[in-house]
Amino acid sequence: MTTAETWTRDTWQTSYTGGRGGDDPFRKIINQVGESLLEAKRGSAQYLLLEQAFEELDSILNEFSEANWDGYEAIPIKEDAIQETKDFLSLLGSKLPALSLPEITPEGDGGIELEWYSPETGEFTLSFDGQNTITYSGIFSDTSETLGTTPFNMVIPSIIETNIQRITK
Amino acid sequence: MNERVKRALGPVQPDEQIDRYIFIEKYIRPDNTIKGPAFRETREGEFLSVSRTSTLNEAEILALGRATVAFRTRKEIIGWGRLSVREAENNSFLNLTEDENTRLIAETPEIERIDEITIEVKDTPYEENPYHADITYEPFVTSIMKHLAKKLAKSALFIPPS
Repeated sequence: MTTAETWTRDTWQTSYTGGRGGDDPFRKIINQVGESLLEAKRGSAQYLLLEQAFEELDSILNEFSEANWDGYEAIPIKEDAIQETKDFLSLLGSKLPALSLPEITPEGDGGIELEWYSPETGEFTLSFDGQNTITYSGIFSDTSETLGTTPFNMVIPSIIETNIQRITK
Repeated sequence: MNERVKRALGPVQPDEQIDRYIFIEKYIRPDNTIKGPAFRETREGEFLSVSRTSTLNEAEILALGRATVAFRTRKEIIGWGRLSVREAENNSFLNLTEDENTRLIAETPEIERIDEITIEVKDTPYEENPYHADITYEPFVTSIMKHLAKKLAKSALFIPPS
């Protein structure tokens, strides 16, 4: 297996060799391709955007670490949800700029929501709870809607990629 | 319970305004629209707390929120999401049909069995908050709640305190 799309979560965990604090966005995807490609990615706009997203996730983990942080009995953000979101964003990074980076929002159930939004095309969100399942939801400007859940095995499901593109087109 | 207030409010009316207090800036987009998480209740199977504010001015709405919700968190109210009872109840979920632009939830069997979720605003006052109401869902289906929250948020207007 040589592409991110064919790797399973188990494969990632056995082949991941670490990086900057273990959070190098591109390390997980290309650690078998070679250092030369990694160096080519590092410093790129995509890499920097991912780095910012990872920092934001770490900030959210700290800021929303107390119970009832929203006034309505929210639970602290889960570390598993943060890591799962980082895993997804790492995969998304390989598809930039075709797929843009989303807004990141903490959820009261301890999960993380990623949102793609445009006043013209609508909104599409993914929720990560650290349980290897993505809950997706979309409301589009043509009044259509979509929602459901799908397993997350270190591959971006096609339905999710399609709906992201509906918002970002 | 303030009986005078209880009598003054009466039964919930369709055109009545309800407010959902918001404390998290990340719940508000740069264009002042509201994200779904602002309208999600964390407690499994529970209702969505709102306040009936048609008879209150802004200062009273703010005071009510501080006294009944804000005291539980160290955060300040940044505003509230406002919609009418009718707008909330109009978001009842009907089962999606499969066509070019929508998809049935193929991987979530519990959703496939749902034809409709009825949303209702119920008057649920208590001693400290005689204006309290709950947005209720029947049946309550966890995997659909995030979508319904998004629809409620989309129906609402963000009102920051002046």
